[in-house]
Amino acid sequence: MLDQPNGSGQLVWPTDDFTRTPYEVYASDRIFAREQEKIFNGPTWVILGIECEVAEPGSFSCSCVGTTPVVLSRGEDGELFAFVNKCAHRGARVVRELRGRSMTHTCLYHGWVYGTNGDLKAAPLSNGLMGQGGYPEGFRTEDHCLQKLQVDTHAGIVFGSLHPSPPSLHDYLGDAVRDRLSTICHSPLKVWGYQRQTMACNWKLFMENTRDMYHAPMLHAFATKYGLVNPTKQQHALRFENDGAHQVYSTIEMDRDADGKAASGGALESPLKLEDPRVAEGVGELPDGLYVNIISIFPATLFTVAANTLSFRQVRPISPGKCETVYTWFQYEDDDEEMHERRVMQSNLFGPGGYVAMEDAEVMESTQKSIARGYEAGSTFVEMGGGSIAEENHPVTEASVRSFWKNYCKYMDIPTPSAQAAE
Amino acid sequence: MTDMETEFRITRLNNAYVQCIDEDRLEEWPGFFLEDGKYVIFPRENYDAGLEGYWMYCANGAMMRDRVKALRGVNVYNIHYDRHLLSNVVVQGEEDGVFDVRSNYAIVQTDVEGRCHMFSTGQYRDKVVEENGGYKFKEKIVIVDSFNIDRPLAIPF
Repeated sequence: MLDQPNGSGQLVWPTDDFTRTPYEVYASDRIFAREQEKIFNGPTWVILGIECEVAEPGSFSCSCVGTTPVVLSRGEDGELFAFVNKCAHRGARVVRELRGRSMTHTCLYHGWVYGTNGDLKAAPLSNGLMGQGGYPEGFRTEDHCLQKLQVDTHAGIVFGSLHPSPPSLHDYLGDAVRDRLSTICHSPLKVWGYQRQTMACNWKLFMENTRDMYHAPMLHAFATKYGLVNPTKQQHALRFENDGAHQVYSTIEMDRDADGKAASGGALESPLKLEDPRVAEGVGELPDGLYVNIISIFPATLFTVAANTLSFRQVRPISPGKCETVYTWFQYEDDDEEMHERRVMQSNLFGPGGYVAMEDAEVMESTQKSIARGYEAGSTFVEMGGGSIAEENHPVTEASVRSFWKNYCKYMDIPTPSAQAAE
Repeated sequence: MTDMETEFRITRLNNAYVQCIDEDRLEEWPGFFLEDGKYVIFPRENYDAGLEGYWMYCANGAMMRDRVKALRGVNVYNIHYDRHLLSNVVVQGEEDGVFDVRSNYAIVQTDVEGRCHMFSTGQYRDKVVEENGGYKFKEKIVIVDSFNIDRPLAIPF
């Protein structure tokens, strides 16, 4: 239970070191509502796409920040805009296609017309009809624009914030995240596909999973049984940014070519063998032997760059027990056919049917089923690696999960027991 | 116009294909294809946009057998039964011995506690050829209308 024993209705986290997470946070409506207010409408940033998805004036792409539907749009002069996809008149969905190109967006209900920047251009019959009806004097289109998001980019990646004055994207991401995203997005990008997966679990179970390296060898046995990873030739680096709100996790191959790129991805003697090994044959693309990169950006953005699969995900809470992830596969514009084929082959590893990924949905959905019944009591046990929130060079720690909860409490304004006592 | 016997045999191939999956005889599944046959699960969002981005991509029989072996031995997924509903098998035409065949599918999935729900629906777009007196898939492209998947994708469609 998050409630104070004194019945004040105030929330308090169970421990100071974030080694316990009350099950209530995965299942309760009041927490879900507070997250929308404090986190998704709070001073945070969520990915909206990459610039090439809205390359031309008028190009648009629909997504969500939390439960709020939003549109990313390229304006007439090439500037980027994002606005809430909810008519300022009566709340109807204005843009109904997932993506496309149009210089105006007309609400189908009463025909209100918006521009590519979300400004209202015209409201039909606002002057009435034959002297009757119409809007009262003083009605001005500029007072009825679509709600605009703050928009900023880094390395061609577009982020949006519903908060009127969030920290700069530069500061929010921090050096480690910015540097890694720049390293990955080193030349012009191109999208080659999308995957949408709805999961019957709380969105935070998904985000925790992206920050939990402890589970991988047990849950995703494919990687070890088929020799995808060779632990003797691999190093790990868990790094935090923005006070631990974000994680940059890397595996680093020690065998490298002259350019510092990983010489081979694994190729370990393994008990099981693929008849067609191309699925697992990655080649190094990034400097310093970087091979697997899991960049989990608070609250709901994930980049997974593993061997030659490059993807980002936007995580969308739907209800306490349901979330959706939208997965975008990207590549470099100047990839040759051989590299593209490699990316397609390796994409069998990830996504809803991924050899090293399909288990995640199953474990999160079955967890949700267990904890959502009788969630009033109980909490998780998050003590792998002790109780510290330290950057480590091994995966046998839940430090990044604890760090997630530390930041969650900060944004949610839920004090720890000692902070509460000090008040 | 394809003759009735060919239509009948191609329809029977499709019926046998979905029955094989529903009866969990997955080891027989690659045998419905030529050895260099292709099997792809393709979300319609990507197909319509001229993008790729597959849920499953098997370029040959080896990749299909790899898939089955991993499902049997390594991968973990939701305990369930699948039931394909196959309809409207239409042979669109034939060119150089390759039949262009389309059909509709729906998969109703029942979970470990006995609840069923509609899991997936879409269209099979097949290239079918005759080999050693029987028919086989040279290609099976599953265009998934319901491209927002709500369960793990373990078993081929």
